[in-house]
Amino acid sequence: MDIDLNQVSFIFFLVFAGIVVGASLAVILHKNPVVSAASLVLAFFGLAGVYAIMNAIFIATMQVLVYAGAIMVLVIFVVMLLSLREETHLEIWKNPLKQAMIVLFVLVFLGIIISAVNYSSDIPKLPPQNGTSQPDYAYNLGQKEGLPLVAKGNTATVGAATFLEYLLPFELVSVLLLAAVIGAVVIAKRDKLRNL
Amino acid sequence: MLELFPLIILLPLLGAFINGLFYRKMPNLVAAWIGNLAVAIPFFITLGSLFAYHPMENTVPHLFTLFEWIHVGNFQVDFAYQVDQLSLYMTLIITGIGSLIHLYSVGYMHGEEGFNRFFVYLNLFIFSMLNLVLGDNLVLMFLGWEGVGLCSYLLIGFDYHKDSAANAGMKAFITNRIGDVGFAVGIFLTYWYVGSVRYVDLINALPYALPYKEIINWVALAFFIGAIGKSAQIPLYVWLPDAMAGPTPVSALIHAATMVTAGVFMIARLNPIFYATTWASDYIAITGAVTALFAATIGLQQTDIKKVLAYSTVSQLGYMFLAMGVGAYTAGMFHLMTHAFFKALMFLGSGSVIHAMHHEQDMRNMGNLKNYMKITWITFMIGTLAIAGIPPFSGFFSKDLILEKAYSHHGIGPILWGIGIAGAFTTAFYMFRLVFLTFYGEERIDVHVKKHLHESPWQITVPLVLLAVGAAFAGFLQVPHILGGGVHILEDFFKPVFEQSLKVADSWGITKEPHVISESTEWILLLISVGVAGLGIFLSYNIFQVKKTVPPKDEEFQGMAKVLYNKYYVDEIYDSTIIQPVMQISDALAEDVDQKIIDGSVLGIGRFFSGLSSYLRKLQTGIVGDYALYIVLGAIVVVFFLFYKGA
Amino acid sequence: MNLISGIPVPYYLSLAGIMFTIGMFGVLLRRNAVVIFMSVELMLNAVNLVFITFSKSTAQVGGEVIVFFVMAIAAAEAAIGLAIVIAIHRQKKTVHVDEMNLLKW
Repeated sequence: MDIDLNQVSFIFFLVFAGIVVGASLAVILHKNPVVSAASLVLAFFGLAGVYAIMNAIFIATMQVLVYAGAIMVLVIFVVMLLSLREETHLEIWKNPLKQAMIVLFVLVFLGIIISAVNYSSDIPKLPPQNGTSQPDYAYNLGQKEGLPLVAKGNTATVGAATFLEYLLPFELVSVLLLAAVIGAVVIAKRDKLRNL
Repeated sequence: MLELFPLIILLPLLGAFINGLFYRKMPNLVAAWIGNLAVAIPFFITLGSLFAYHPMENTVPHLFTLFEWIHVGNFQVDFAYQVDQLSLYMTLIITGIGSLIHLYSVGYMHGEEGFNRFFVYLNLFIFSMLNLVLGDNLVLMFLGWEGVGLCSYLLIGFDYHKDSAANAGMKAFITNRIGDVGFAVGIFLTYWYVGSVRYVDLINALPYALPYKEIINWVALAFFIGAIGKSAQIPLYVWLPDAMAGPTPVSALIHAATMVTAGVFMIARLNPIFYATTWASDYIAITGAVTALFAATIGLQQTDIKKVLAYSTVSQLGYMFLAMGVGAYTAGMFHLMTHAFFKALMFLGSGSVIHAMHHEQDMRNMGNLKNYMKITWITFMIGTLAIAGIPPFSGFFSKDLILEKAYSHHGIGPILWGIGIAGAFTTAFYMFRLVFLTFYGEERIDVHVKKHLHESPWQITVPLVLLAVGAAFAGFLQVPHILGGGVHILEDFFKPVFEQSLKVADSWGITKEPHVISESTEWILLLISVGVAGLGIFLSYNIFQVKKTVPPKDEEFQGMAKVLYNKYYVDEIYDSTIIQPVMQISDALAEDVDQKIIDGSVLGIGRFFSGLSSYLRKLQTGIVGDYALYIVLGAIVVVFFLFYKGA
Repeated sequence: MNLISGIPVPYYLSLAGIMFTIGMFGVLLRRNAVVIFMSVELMLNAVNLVFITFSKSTAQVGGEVIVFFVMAIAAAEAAIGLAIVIAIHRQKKTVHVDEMNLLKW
């Protein structure tokens, strides 16, 4: 593998990747659930940085807005609402046999993934559809007055693809969100008829 | 008249069905009428059909089908019937003598609590027997064969509270079944080689069977084994004497006139097979002759009146098989008919005696009954004279014909004749012993019984008289040539049935010409057989009438008499050599194999799965984390396979 | 093309794998329902990274669209899941998953 160590992006990648991994470890290892939640926010920020390195700007923005901004706020809200205390340290290491087994299996899993990824052949490149082969790709929208109409730029491309090619899934997801909203309200509602 | 023929078969079935459904509530009189009509009407239809069929000229059987039964590939068996001289002959005997016995049963079973049930079984028997003789294929014959076996079991064990009757019923059925294995094997072999089980197909196939000459012997032997069981020959005769535990009408109908003759009929019906045998027929003749003599010797010392008649039946059946074995099928069928008359007559007569003596059956407690029961006495005498072979009664003509045919048979003919003559002498002797002990001599009757001793009612005596007429005059259907030119109505009657197979056998050179015996030899044979019978009667008269000998009490039998009285200990031998080992094996199998191994494994499988599940359900801990672990494990396995073994 | 902005594709995929296994550890080892939920979010994000990686490397825009939808669905799932956690807490006064064993044999 030829790595251009001079590329700044590689250094940025290492930094952001390190943030992600470190914060993830903190999520699962810290006893205090509030600290876990905060670490997860940090992990999401790091991941957004990785997306940005990859030039997936739209997704990086969405990551910060939706995940770090909405979902994690919700989680911290719940943690505060339920007044979740610190877990005792021993909670994590209950039943040593089971823990050993889990650790072993997961590490095996990790090993499989990494070795497979590194030893696999070149990832095939499919011919571009509705886009050029440039990193900053574009979406062909058709012809207008003899000139090809193209949506350029990451956000435009993703938007064009969403609303033109993947319109049906988009609508279905909106229905899903509606269902989720109603469901969440129904499940969490306090039943007024019963005494708690 | 022939269109009404199906009624002959259906009416007895209908009678059994109606009586069977309502036998608890129906008054005795109605049941008796239904039962009797169900047999009497078929008799008259048969009589009419006999004339409509023109048996002396007609050579083609009349076939009709009631309904289809089995149609599987090439195997076709229907409820189809064949009306020809042979089946008409048998049907007349069955329905005729059957009606008389039905009438007799009304009188004999009067007042018994199972009266209605008796007629159900009787009608069912008639139906089965008619299927046996009228069917046009082997499978229908087998159906009738088994049906009469079943009815025999039901009727022998009719008084099921009596242990002896119940056991005798079982003995009869089981011994029959042993023979039936042979019959079934015969059917299989026949279908295998001929491709059909219908008699007309057998007759047509015979000319092409020359390459299978040897196999035919074995097929005949297989069928004969069935006949040994059903017709009580050595070694499967042991059920017949025990069957006397059933009511006397049953003994008369089934064990004298009809069911036991099924074996003889079968040989006549399967004449294509039996004519084409070489050594199997000799075996049949030898078995018949030896049985005739053997059973007669046992009858010499029996004290139960019905047992004497039972052994005489076995003996006379032996004569019939002797005739069939030497190829004299007409003679065998002739003797079948005359025997049906005089044996049924004697059984019914003994029933009359037993009924009048309040169920006393031991001859040592009888004597001088001729003064009390005149009709019974005279008719019984006629029957005894017939069986002894005294002219001009029927038994003389049929037995003489058999002995003559036996003598003129090639090879061992004269030896068979000698055995037959010895048997005839013994028969005359012990049958007249029966007569002298029962109807003559001193009165050894119990005082209480003597008070009510009188002749039996008309339902009993009328059949006796009718049968006596038959026993007296039926012989004139076939008179030997030397006696006034001879009458051969029966011979001509049966000719169409046998002539085709006879021709084929002749063309193969199997039927070696019997010695053509000269007229003088015939006269000598005739005189010897009459003389021997007369000698037997004379000796019997001497011993039992003049010297007034009475058989001793059971314990006092000695020497040879004791052996004969105990029937050569045959039953005991069978018990120790065959029955006990079989029972022990089945006990062992039932306990060790059935209970321990089979039940154990079946239950064991259940218990295994039960245990396995109670172990496996511990996986359901209810803790979600554990389930997540299982998911992860599964995912790892899948990933492993995908990456390293290829998707 | 095995490089996305100068970094080989396997590096991104390894990062995703590490994130995924860390999330898996969290799901299996932690006993607090909310923390388990957060670990699941980690796993989802790892998958998102994989999608983006392949979208960029094969120059297809479909992968990014999928990630957009996955985020929306994750939000919906978060709402429902946390509602359930709140409901359970109301009943059992705890969010310790070992206490929720009514499906025990």
